[in-house]
Amino acid sequence: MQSYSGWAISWGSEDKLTLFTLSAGALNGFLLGGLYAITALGLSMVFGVMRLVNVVHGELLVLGAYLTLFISTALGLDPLLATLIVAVVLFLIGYSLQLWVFNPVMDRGMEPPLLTAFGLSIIAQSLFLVYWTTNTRTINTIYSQRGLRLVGMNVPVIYLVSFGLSLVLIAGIHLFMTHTYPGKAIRAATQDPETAKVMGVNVKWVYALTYAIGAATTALGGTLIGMTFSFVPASGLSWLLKGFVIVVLGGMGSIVGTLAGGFLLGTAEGVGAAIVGTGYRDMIGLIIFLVVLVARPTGLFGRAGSK
Amino acid sequence: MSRPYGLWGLIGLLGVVLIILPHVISRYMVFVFYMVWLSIGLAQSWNFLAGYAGLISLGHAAFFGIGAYTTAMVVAHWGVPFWVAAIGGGLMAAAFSVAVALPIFRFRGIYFAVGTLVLAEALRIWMINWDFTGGAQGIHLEPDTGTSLMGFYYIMLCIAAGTTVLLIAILRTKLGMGLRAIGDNEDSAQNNGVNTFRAKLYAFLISAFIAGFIGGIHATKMASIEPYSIFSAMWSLSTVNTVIIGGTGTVLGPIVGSIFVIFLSELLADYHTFHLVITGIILILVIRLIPAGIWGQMRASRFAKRIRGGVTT
Repeated sequence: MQSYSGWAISWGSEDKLTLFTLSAGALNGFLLGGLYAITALGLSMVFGVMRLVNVVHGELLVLGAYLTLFISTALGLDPLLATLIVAVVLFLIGYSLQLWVFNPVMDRGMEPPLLTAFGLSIIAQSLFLVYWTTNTRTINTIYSQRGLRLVGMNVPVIYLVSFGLSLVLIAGIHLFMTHTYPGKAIRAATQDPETAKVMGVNVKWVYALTYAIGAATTALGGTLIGMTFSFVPASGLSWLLKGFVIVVLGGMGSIVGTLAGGFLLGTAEGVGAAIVGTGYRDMIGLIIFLVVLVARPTGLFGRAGSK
Repeated sequence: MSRPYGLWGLIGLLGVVLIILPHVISRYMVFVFYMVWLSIGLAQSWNFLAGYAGLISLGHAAFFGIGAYTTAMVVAHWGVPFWVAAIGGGLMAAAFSVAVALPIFRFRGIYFAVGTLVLAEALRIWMINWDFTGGAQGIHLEPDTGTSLMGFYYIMLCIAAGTTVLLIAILRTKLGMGLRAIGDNEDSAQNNGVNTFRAKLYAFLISAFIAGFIGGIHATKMASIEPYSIFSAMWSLSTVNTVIIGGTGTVLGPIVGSIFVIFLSELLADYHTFHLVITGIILILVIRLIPAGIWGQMRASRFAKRIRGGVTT
């Protein structure tokens, strides 16, 4: 998140702090919150369902960005269309990872899966370096650089696009979870894995499916990151941390909460950056994270009693 | 004390070899060994927290960085000898650990891991923006502090040996027993009269002091520091990696891990990016197949029982 593509960030402390810059920051931040929610969705699902702190989530996002860039350039597709192909690829990668890498260590407490994910993140970052070098990349489209006037303020079109997509994606996942058999199996395995097993739910399959869906959402997250900002092989960490903040703000593992968390973080960053300066922008969320977790270990909207 | 004299003889011999070593190997290899000692020091200070008290910190870079920056600032502004400044660096890191202990100890298990990672990253962003410490440019020291690479080799060797001895010593005290009890089960340790907060605090600040001190020495050696690399999460992550591969919660594990990881990267130096891929694969395999780590596994085998006699390593 070091550099921004286009003119998107013309607001911030470089301008004098006025009510206008403050509300522009809030509006842009709020809209950007949609993008944030998409990037955190997979992290939230995987944590919610199997208590796996998926520290390789940031690398999945970056992989999504690289693959979209690669496929859209190779096939001459619009990046958002290419994302559909990338989502399938990431779904398969995610499914295999959970089945063969995570499942064997899932019953050994929370640390081994976390450290396994950490090992994967080292591997992924190195492979990005090998194949795509350290060059800073962006995914350019006609609309990714455009802006429009909204209530007298400049708003990047891509913020509006990701805002809309976040609503669609989260509604889709929500419906999937409540209205389909796999979705119901996932919820059953979340609430009580042992009973779900007795009732004939294949918990290992549910875990693989959850991870796969979570990974598939990172395709869109990665694409939007690439279109809105820029990315390098090591970009994953800052997006992982943003994801933690959103998950904590939205309540651990709640899908609709993730959307709320994204909007909250976006708005807080927009307002905060207008006050203290854009250099500290990434720190704002981290401070919120620490304060919220210390005050309310279950997250802002978390259910009491759930750990 | 029923310690075998053979063990002391072996340690003495090893000491003599390591003292002579830098005079007979190339300058580059002296640097490699310097990095091994640095890695052992950091690994032991982390192992102390994670291996015994079960506090898996992913924010060790914060202590390392605070120590490095404090030392560089003190040397640059007041011109005191660097090793005195490095002690100041260690103390500053320890002070920071005490300041954040109250909130951070509310987290347990993986929440502690995530909390420390977030804290360290927040600090890194702060340091990039803080003009007082030179912002993103960092601090440049006068390159010549009168200490050669060989001097740093010996200093780091002493730190590596010192932290290992300190760990062994602390494990024999009441604090060491308390930490192990916390590692087994924090609630039952508390119920059985262990002041868990105080025990964790002592472990945290000792660990922070060591990491800060090492950071200070390393900053002096580098002579030029900037926040991106000094506060990089890589310091935390490679430390975690090293200890897990070597053997968490053992005295020799971090040493075995450091030697293994650093020499592996030297062996694969021609394929420099692939060495991290291989390290990552090894980490995943160790977690899955030998959770006790390389040394932990060897210790359980007959080979280790024969050489260690009655001493717990």
